[in-house]
Amino acid sequence: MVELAGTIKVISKLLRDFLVAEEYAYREGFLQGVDQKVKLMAILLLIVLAVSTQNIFFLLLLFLFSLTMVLLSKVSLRMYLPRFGFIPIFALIIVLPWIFLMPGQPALTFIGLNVTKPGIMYVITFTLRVTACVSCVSLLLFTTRVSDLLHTLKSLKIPSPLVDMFGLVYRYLFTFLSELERMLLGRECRVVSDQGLLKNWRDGGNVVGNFLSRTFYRSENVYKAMRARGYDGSFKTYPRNDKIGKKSIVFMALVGIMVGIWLVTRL
Amino acid sequence: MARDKVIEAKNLKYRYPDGTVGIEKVDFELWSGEKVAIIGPNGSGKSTLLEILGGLIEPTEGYVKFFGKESIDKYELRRRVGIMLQNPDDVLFNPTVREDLEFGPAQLQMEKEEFNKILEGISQLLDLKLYLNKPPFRLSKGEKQKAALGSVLALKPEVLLLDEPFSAVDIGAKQSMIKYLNRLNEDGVTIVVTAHDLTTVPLLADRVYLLNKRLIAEGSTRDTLTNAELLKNNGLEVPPLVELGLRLGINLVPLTVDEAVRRLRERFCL
Ligand SMILES: Nc1ncnc2c1ncn2[C@@H]1O[C@H](COP(=O)(O)OP(=O)(O)O)[C@@H](O)[C@H]1O
Ligand SMILES: [Mg+2]
Repeated sequence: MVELAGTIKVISKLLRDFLVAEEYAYREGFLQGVDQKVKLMAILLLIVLAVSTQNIFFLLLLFLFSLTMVLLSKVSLRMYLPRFGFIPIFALIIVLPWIFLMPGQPALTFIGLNVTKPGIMYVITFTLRVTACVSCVSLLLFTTRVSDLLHTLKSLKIPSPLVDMFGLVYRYLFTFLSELERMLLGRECRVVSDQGLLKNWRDGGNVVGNFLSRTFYRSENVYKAMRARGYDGSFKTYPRNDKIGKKSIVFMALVGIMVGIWLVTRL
Repeated sequence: MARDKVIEAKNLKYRYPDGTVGIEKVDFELWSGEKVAIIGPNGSGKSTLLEILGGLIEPTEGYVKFFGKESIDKYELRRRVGIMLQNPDDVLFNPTVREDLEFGPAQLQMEKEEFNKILEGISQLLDLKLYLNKPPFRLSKGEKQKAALGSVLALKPEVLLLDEPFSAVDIGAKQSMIKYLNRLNEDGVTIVVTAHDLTTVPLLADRVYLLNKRLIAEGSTRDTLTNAELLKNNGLEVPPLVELGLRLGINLVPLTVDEAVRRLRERFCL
């Protein structure tokens, strides 16, 4: 039991830490001061650029650009990198076989298989592209409050039920995770011996069942608390920055330069 | 000026979906400007009653009328009646404390400037400044309770329904919360609190409902809290000062320490 519980706890903690990136959204950094719409559109543009290039230099540059923005936004790289690092690593593992599968000129031979040059190029570009994209998206998540994001999405005419659904799921997620952790903590305090595997799995089933009924009960109460404060099915939020200020203009200019470089690499 | 009836409830019964009866045969009345406590042991239905009074759940039997109206618009109800649920973990569902404080006002579309002023006041009063940008689940139970209270106060309701608001806060915070609630009451806010620990009741309520699934008694705080028999029979602890007063045979048994000091001074010429 202890092991299973331990695993769930680690996952839940990771998720929660990821979600809590929100704390950074309140710092008085560079991107936090950029208008939400400008930021959203610019970052989407950067992602489009990343997806539509084969140029390793550009992808590297884009990644460095995003790291610079992170630093300017008063988020430390030590906090930033581990949060999304697992995604590019995962991507690398998935595309790695292509170093053999891609037809082309062999670069070297490895246990009887040919590693091709196009294969290597493909794997590097793919991983770099994923890294750059994920980094740009994280940039957005780290410097924007979720409620601002919802507000912006709505003002961009994304269908409101969709946005509200996202808002609801996002809020419930916290409740679920905290409930899960609390329950496991409660168990841990009482479980003393390390039981056999069978008992372990049976307990696992109990935990899941118990968890579901508890979260159901909790979510009902959370819903009550929402209604108590006037929630009527659609989240309303206060927008934060209404004016397009200096920071927004500087950011647009920087993104403009990136677009310029992208164009040059296309020539 | 004649006082208005804020809430009128008759013959309330609530049965939970699993068949458990939360409360039955409860009548309740609340007048504008009152301070009322609902007391009773664990599981006596305090939270159930409060949620009905806050319009969050519909009674299975009986009726609730708000502000003397036959039916009330949900939006108006939410603006005028603020309710704080017992478990702060349910109340604080936003990623940061600040967003929890602004959730209500944003839903009710309060002006941003007005909210900012309220936020300043509330975070000052409840000592929340340091926690504003923190995720609520990183707070201690007492801090959560303060934040939960703040999130209801942010709405500036006319009627405040608070479910055991002091159960986890420390003595300092409790005292300042009580002082503040009394001040709000002087400004016209009607207050209902629930409690199973009776020590704070005399400091915050003039009138008491004693609940034990059914309505057992209703009366002034003094009459109810000095009825040791009644309290004991319903699973409540007789407040130590009351016990002392009763045993010493002091007439007009003291409810608060201040009162006890005054009476003892008078009696023993201290
Ligand atoms: N969601 C629920 N489902 C079933 N029974 C419940 C639920 N909530 C409360 N109860 C039951 O209703 C009764 C009254 O509960 P409650 O109003 O929470 O009491 P109190 O707040 O005075 O401790 C208790 O017997 C409790 O077990
Ligand atoms: Mg209760």
